Amino acid sequence: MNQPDLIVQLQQGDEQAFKRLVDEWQDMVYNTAISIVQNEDDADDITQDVFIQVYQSVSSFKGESKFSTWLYRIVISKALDHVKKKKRKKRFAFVQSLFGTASEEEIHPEEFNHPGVLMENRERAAELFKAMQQLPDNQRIAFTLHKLEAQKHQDIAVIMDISLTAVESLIARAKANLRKILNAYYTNNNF
Amino acid sequence: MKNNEHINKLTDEALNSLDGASRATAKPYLLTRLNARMQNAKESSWDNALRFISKPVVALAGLCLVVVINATVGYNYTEQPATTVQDDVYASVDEYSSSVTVLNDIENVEP
Repeated sequence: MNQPDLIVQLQQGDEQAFKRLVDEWQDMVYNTAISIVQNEDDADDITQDVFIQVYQSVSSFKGESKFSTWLYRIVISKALDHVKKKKRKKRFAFVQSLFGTASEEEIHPEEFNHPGVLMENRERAAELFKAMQQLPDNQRIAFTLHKLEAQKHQDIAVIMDISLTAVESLIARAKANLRKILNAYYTNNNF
Repeated sequence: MKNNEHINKLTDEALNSLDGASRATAKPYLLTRLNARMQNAKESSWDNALRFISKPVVALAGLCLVVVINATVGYNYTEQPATTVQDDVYASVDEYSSSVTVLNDIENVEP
């Protein structure tokens, strides 16, 4: 079945169509979410939130953009919201820690290992993910879509609703910033 | 100098560490969990509505609203019918008098 048919069936509330949608897109949604929030449980929650939102608002999908573009936008928006909430929580946990009531995990979260990274690259990838947390949101999204979702610059431009030149610039700046952060990290930790 | 080279090498390794990475796969039974969550959301929205309605403040406010609406409707109802009845009376009187006239005319028809 092609995608427009699937969308029409979804808009009619067909549960089988929803099942097919979840089967087809769950890994894309989960992978994008986990790459941004860097936590498996949070990514799972976001994946569920995304599909529930799709189910509830598919009637508003007019087909002006590709379905995948629409889906990417929902995932990215939910993941960034989650990151912001977590940052707020972390700041609050820091204040709580001054009074000794915050848990250790809230203040210093565990090192993140992306499940799809090759075993021999795990250690360096964990350091890269840590550095990615310090990037501005737009650089982080462009870099993530490029590196972990293997999206072309043109597609990233459509998803982020910016020009192709802007995407190229964002990715170049993301790489430069990551190089700077990683360099400082390795220098300060005497590698 | 050698240290700088080493650090640059580590940095390059880190930057290239995502090359060849595959997609992370979602946890199993996602659809089952989604269905359960949507079902819970449906139930909890009813629970929330009931819980909200059964709050004493809301219940009292609702009761007051009903009383006020009743009083307003009652007040308007008692005022309006007076004019309506009066109009009806005039109308029927007119009708009656005209019909009486007609009847009288019939009865008083002189041979």
